[in-house]
Amino acid sequence: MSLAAVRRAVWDGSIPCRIDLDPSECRSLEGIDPYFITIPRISYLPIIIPKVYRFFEPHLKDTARAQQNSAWFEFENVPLKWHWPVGVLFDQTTGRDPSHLRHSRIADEDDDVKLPWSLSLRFQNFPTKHLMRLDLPNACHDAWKNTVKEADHVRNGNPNTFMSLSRGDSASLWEAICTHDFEIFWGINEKLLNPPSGPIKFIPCRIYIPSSTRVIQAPCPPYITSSDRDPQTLGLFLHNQLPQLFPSRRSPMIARPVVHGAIVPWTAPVLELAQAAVHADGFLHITIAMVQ
Amino acid sequence: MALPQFPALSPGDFANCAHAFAEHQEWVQKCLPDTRILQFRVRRMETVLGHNECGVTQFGGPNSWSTTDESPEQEVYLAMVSYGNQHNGKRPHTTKGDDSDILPHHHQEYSPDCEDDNDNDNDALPPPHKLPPPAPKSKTPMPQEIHIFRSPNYKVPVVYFRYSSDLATPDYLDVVSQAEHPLTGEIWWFIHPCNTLKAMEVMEAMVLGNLQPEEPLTTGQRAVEARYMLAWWGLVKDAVIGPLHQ
Repeated sequence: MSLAAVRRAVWDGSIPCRIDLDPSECRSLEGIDPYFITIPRISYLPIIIPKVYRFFEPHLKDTARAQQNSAWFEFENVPLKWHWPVGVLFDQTTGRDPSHLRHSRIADEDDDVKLPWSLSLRFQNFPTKHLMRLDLPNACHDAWKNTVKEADHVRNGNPNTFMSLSRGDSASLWEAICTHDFEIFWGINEKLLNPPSGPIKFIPCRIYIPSSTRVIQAPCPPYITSSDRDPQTLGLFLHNQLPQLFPSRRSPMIARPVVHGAIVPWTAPVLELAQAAVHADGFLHITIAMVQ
Repeated sequence: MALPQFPALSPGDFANCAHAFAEHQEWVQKCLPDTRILQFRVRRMETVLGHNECGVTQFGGPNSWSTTDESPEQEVYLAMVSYGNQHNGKRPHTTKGDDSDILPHHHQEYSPDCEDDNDNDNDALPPPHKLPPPAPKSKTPMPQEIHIFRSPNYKVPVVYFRYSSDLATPDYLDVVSQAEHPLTGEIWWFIHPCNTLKAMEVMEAMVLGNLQPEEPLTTGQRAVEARYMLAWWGLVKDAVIGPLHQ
């Protein structure tokens, strides 16, 4: 598969969702239809809030209090961090182990996670301890932009590649995420991943600890030695970062790395993996499934 | 040579700077116009995994570097343990037990009244500035907790803070924003490190260089580390605890 084809497959990855309005928000106790929507893995929850809000607005008990900027989503009593990409939220909160799917031709049969992903929409009691505020202007756009700058900094030691994008390019990049336009997005993102300043210093990575909200910020050196001969592999990188979860250099034993809901080969070079599977914010997000 | 990657800090550099900051708080408060004494302790980054199935319940994750220059280190962070005027130290509620505190190198309970130790490096510290006249009372709320971590991505200190009340908002929303706490994932306020990194570059002479002709030619490593934290804290302090408080 060519690099472009892998990027396209990553871009097309999505999570089928079912959203129910929490009963405490409903004007009447009569059954309200759920809202079904497929959300791209690389997208963010606030992007779909306007659509979801319009759907449920006639049924809201108190529209003065229940505004778009106080909307939040919950899965099995866990508030969903809206600044994480949707695919990461799904993989991390469900802890789904995609290796189970290898042995079944019909994906649904062996999948231990029920689809569609069932979420609850709430407005009251916004969990300020766990979620960043959405009522600050451009909250989602700014959160994404800060992350892109951070990724740029990790790669180059400065955020100049992103800062030197034209205003048009910078706006188009975010717009392309909102409208889910692959061509426009990658037309610009290519410049960020391949900066003119030279080979990248570190690969921006985030590792998600299962059953917790702990995120490890882990800049990954692209090569093992300074001679640029031996590419850093995912397995070696994880073994060094989290030896208790990845005790062996040779293979995953108690935990498996998951990227975009798929098992990644232990020996995959992180640099190539990042080129193909980077998220829209410039980071390689790695969730972890515990071996059952 | 102290702080070879200035303004970036390796995990080991940051640990040393953290100790220097905790040990020289009185000098820091005097150099920056403020009558408040904050006390910080250095703590280890222990983490509970919380996943029972695999039997692993705890780990201290090193942020290891694969090049030969760096070795995996037990990472640390700074936690404010009390604040107040010189004789009126309040002890705020802290998130972690005191077991993970690391005592300062001279193995004494840090107290604002105790004399500086006989560390020769003190000779290289710049003299405290004269205090300006008292300013009107600051309206910036005082955070209940202040934690200082090293940013793995920016390699500089980052300050996280939060208030006792969910309703309190910081003043300087152009530089203060929200972020996930590196250990708990909870939402705290923080000062984005991209702002401080550039500003620190300008401070190179102040931090690394000799300050006065009377000083010995070789500045002590601990003095350099203390000066780094002084320069950095001076950049972020007003946005965290507000300007001079009466």
